[in-house]
Amino acid sequence: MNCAEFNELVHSLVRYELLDIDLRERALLHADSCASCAARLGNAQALADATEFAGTAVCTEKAPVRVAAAVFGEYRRIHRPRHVGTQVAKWALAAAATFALAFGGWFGYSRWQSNDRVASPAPARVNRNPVEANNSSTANPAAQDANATSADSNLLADFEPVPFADDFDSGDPAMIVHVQLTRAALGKLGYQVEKGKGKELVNADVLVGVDGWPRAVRVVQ
Amino acid sequence: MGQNPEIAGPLELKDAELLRRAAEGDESAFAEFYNRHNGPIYRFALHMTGSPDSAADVTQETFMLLVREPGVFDPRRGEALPFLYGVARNFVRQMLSRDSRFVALPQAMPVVAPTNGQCSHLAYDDASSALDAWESLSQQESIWRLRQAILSLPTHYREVVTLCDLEGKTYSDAAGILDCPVGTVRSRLNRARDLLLEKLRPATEPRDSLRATGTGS
Repeated sequence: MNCAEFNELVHSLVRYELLDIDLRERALLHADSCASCAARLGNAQALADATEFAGTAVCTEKAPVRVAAAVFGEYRRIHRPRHVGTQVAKWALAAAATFALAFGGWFGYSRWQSNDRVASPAPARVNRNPVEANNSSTANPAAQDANATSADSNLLADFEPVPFADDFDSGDPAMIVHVQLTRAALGKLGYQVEKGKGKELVNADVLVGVDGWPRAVRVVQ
Repeated sequence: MGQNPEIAGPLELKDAELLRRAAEGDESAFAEFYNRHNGPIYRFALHMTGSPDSAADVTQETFMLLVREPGVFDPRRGEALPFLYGVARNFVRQMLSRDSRFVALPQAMPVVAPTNGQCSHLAYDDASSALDAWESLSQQESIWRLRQAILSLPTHYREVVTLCDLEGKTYSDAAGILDCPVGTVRSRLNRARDLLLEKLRPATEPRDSLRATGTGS
């Protein structure tokens, strides 16, 4: 083996990558007989050791925290809106389904009610204020007559309009909801409540308009 | 050599599966993938650029690409780690090309403070400790000089030294990452090691410091 051949394989020799035993023996024999190649062998060995040490010194190094923060921030920015959007869509769908069911119920009820009415005259009007209703009934005998002859007026006779709510006409679509509530709750709707009876439970029928707001309340004794 | 702590165990999910889940919004899958691979990519960039800040930037851009365009990785074309190395390699080359317009200031060897918080001459109270400290300092100096020599290599030589000698990849792994034949890796590595010996010659020949400072053998 000459020096050029030795130089070709010196790095493989020191890293135990030279699998040919015969070639390895010849290379070591040459290094024993050549001072220059022996020095080169030593340097190559030192380099191999140093690179291994340098690699081992940082083998557990990881990217700094700021990299993870930036990468995961971007990941969340991209994926979270789609996640939230899906949730919102689900809730919107559920709300729409509920509304459709409620509307269907109301529609069926109103159809049933209209079939039930026979020769229904002009709709009676629920007065916003019972006091005003009394006054108007005395002041307007024609309306009083109309109320007296109306079946709807009987149906709605006991209902008292909710203060601050929109006017309600008996021809307007609505549904009656049977509820149990405290007198205090009635007070919140604007009715007068006797002191000390706020916690008392009462049964009531609430006339609910198509928009979901209460129009009138009838207390069931 | 041969250190590869990020090998997936038999019970761990494969990278492709993790990336598929991550693309569907499973953050824990992405976190596992990131934890598994950020180390090798960061170290590769660190060895290639010599700057922790640049290495962090390269690592960040590499994973950002996967976050923004999950479809860029095709598991049918190979494993995820070589793909990440390939992306990081491109970013490193872009960065080196961009920074080549600037002249780097000569770097001083970083001084490592004693771990017990005392001054170095107070930290070692007997002769053997002082000798250990001196050996440690010499080792640090040797490693620092070696790193400077690696950084001065042309990029294609630096890549093979980083992958094979510092990161312990096999020749075939390095060939897969660098997208070239194994023979090319072998010849580049041989040439790179010769260049390193030449660059380190002033220090190695007169006093054979790499051997004398206890860097092995």
